[in-house]
Amino acid sequence: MQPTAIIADNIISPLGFTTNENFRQVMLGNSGLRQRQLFGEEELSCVATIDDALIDQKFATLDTNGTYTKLEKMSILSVSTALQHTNIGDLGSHNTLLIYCSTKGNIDLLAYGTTDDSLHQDVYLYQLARKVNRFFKLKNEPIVISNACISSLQGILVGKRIIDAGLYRYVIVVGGDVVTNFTLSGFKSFNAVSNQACKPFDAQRKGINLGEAAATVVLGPSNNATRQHIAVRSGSCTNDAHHISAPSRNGEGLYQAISKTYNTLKEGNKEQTDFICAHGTATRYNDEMEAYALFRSELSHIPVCSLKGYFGHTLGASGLLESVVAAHAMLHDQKIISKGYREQGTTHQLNPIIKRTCYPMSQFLKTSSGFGGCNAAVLFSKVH
Amino acid sequence: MPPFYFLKCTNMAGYISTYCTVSRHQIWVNGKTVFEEEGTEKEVDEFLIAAHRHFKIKYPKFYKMDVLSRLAFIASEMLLSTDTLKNDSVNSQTSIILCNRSSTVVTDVKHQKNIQKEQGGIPSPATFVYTLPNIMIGEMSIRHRLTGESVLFISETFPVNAVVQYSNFMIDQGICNSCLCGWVEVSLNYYHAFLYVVKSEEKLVKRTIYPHTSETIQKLYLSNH
Repeated sequence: MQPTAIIADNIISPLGFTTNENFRQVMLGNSGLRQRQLFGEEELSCVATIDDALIDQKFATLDTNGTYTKLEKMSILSVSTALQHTNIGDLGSHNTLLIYCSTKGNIDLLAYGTTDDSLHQDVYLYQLARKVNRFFKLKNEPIVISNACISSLQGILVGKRIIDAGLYRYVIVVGGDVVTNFTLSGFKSFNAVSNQACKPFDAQRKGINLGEAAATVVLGPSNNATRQHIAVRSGSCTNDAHHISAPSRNGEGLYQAISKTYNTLKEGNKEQTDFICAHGTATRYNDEMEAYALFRSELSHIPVCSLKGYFGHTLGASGLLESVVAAHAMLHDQKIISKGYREQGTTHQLNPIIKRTCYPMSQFLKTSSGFGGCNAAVLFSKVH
Repeated sequence: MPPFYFLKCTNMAGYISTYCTVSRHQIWVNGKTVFEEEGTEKEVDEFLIAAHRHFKIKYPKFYKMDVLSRLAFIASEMLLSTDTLKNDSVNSQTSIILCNRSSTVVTDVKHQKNIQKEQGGIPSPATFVYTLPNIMIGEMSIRHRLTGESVLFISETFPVNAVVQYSNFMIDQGICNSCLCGWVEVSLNYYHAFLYVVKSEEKLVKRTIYPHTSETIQKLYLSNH
């Protein structure tokens, strides 16, 4: 059976409006993080945000006359660009499903009203998904996943399973979140935010930076070859069953997710893993837990990187966006520097990538974890 | 009901072993009323606290939860405390699929008020953490030590076909042998929870109540709605 593959993708982020542009900027070592004054605050926040005017300018090139929020424009732009690289026939046929993944969607609309009468309809995530769905004239009701920071990595896994089950031929998975006063103030109340560029896995790490992005993968059969495809080999998700906002101390949930991901494959694949694109949020707890889980999985020696130093933490978009960047790194046989890392900062030693190297690669592991104790792991490889 | 999927796969992998509804200040388990509160003018929180007391649940963390997590907790407590799911090797084999329409809108509004300076509130981590709908899954997982797969879908109405197909798929593929599924919705003036447990045939310990199909689930969901 041909593997389900990523046959097209796109990233909309402060680093660019195409996957190629984003990848090029990451290879140059550039970050989307900036010091900005936001939401009427005096002190600066270190965030990776996209200029509203730039989004509007790009969106104006699409044929549209509706009213769309920033996140909706980003999402539609992302799907539209991704689809340009496919030759999928009639999108409106019954063969295509949209999966939308986000933690809070258009939550900034709450600023306009919080009562039953004044609550804006687009605050509801299913409304956001439907607007994207309708734009592309897709016939099937979209699926919406809201599962904290694992949302869009899980979206890829759910999409793959749906295709493997023979329910659809193509699944478009989109992950999106924007930087809002709502989420920034919330994370600040946890003392989880750094006002400097984040340092995943580093001894001096002080917390996350928020970022915004929309990213898309189109999943389909890998014989649809317009370019080298990326197979979604296997994946799993678990729950720590430990705490709602802190990861389990011994990384049990992530360890189990990683184990199940490798165990579902016929051959033991761990040693063939060329690198790991970790979650690496730069909080003290997450990075410590992840290092422990990778140690327990006997993967500590595998080169690891976190992309949060380039994009910030894009919440619902993070799993998918980072998988796309990592996939292109694999296609180009390029290792990505784990930006922000200088010195070991976790009890269990990892092997963070500190130098750009060119190395033939065929497989990588992506991990994500989130509030609520959820964890996800997915294995990607080149389609041969 | 509009079909959600072009049904190519009609495998029926599971059997419903138990189900519950919490709505209009009443709780039904397997079709029978097990608790009701007089006086529907009571807030949903008061009703849930009364249920917690009535069933002598004794779980102090309940009082820290927001209303959505409390509703999910009470509903799952009706199913899992009577079901044989307190075994570690079993618990990693149990998946959870929950859905709702409004995500965490009630707590979102609370946090929003805390961040609007003119309202004088201060954002609190204890409130903010509950602005993610999957936290109710986290709370259930902690309570019953469920370490398997879980997912949360947002949908305007209960996506019966999606839930039935996805849970059957997971059971069929051996990803789990039991799944806790349902709809847990709290909005600004309304609440409703419908939860059920579906098991693979091998895992049934008592005679099946119903086969796990969209038609059956839709019927059970609508009864007592």
